[in-house]
Amino acid sequence: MSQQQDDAAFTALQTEIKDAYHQQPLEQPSAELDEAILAKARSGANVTKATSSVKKSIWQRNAWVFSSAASVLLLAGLFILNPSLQKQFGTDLDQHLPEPSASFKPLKSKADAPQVSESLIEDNTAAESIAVQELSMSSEPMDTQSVNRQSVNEESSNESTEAANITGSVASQMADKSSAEISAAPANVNPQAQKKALQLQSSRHAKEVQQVKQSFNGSLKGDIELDTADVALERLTVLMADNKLIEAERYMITIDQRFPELSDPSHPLYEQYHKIVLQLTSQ
Amino acid sequence: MVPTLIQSKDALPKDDILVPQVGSDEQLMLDYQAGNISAFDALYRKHKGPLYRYFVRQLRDQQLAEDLYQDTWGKVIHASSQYQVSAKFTTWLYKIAHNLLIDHVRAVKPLDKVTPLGEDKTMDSLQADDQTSPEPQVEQQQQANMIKGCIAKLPAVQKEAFLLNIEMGMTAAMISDIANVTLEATKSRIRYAYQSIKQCIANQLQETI
Repeated sequence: MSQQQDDAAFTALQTEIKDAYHQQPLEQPSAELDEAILAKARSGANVTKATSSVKKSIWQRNAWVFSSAASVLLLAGLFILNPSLQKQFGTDLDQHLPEPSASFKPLKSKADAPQVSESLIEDNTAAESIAVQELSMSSEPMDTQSVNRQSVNEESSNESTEAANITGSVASQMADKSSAEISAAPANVNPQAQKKALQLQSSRHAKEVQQVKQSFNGSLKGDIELDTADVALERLTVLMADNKLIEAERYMITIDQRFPELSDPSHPLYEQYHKIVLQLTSQ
Repeated sequence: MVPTLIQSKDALPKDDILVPQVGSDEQLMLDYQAGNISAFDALYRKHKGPLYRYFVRQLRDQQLAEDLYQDTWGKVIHASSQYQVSAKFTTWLYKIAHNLLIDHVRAVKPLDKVTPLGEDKTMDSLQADDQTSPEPQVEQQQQANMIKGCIAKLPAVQKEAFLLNIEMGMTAAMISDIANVTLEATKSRIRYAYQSIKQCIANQLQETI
């Protein structure tokens, strides 16, 4: 009851003061202030219009998408159009891929070599055989090196055959070079000298061909002569005769890897090799 | 157009989504957002007096009051591009004004605390004073002159609540939202403000007699 009276009294008081308040002259902002604010509102409306129109731009809203797509397209275009990049990329990939079967074989034998070498440290002969095997299993440039070694030996013994020491492609290059020199020589050069040079060149070629033939026939001495099945079989026979069975067994494994054709019954040395193998495996 | 929420520093709670009526403050603001300058003109003419007095009555420094008044409208203009309706425009407008007042004045000089009325100063006693006043017309004129001085003597928080109530007819709930205080505290401030003014006028009338 008292609360209601209080509220009613307060409402009356509020009305009374409100009436009195609004009867008095009330302050208003100056005309200058009004004009300044309205001018700001007008400029603000223009700015708002401009910003809203820019915000609706599709390029601004999707800037991320467009820039990403452009970057991807640029990269893809570079890879497609630039072959050197493709090659480089392919090379990088190849470095991480496993080796192809052709090149894998020598790598495998080289990887196996340290194991074999460790087991053969006590025997110099067996170690030598492994070295021979590595040499024989190496690719064409290695054979050229062997021929080079042969040529160097000959050079030390005979100075007059200096031209014959240059082998393979090097000799050919030199021959081509000398031919080129001859052809490029002036016309007033002595014809006899030219003839001698040509003879020297032809003799170089003949010597080179002979060396290659000898290396293939196994008539040359040194490491290269072991690179045949019959020589390896002879060495194995010698090891058996000397009763060096352990070395012979290891050498047999080497022969198996190097000359798998010996296991072919149609091979002329098959029976001889098979006999030695039987002897080794039966012990 | 379906208005949604106000996204500004001075935004209000986003639970009530209002549909502005034609000619309402909210609709005028949306029209201004769409580029209609005359809508802002109408909005400004409607609110300029109360807002101006909101600052002038609370600040003794006239220049500072005008600066803050201008700043308030500047914020309204600036925020108009992001304006979305979620509460009454007046609530939003005076919340901006209140924050500016806090930033510029109250941060420097803390407000006076609410001074409650004494035991003997009840509504009944105020009513009794009113009954002993002189002739109505003279009293009314005197009261109008005295009110201004009495408002100036109010504590700041009461003054703000009183001005918002008497100028714009805001309820205690709206004022509590603007001033960021509880509803009960706002009700107390309004009540004490009116009682203090009544007491102040009565005292001055007695002095003149």
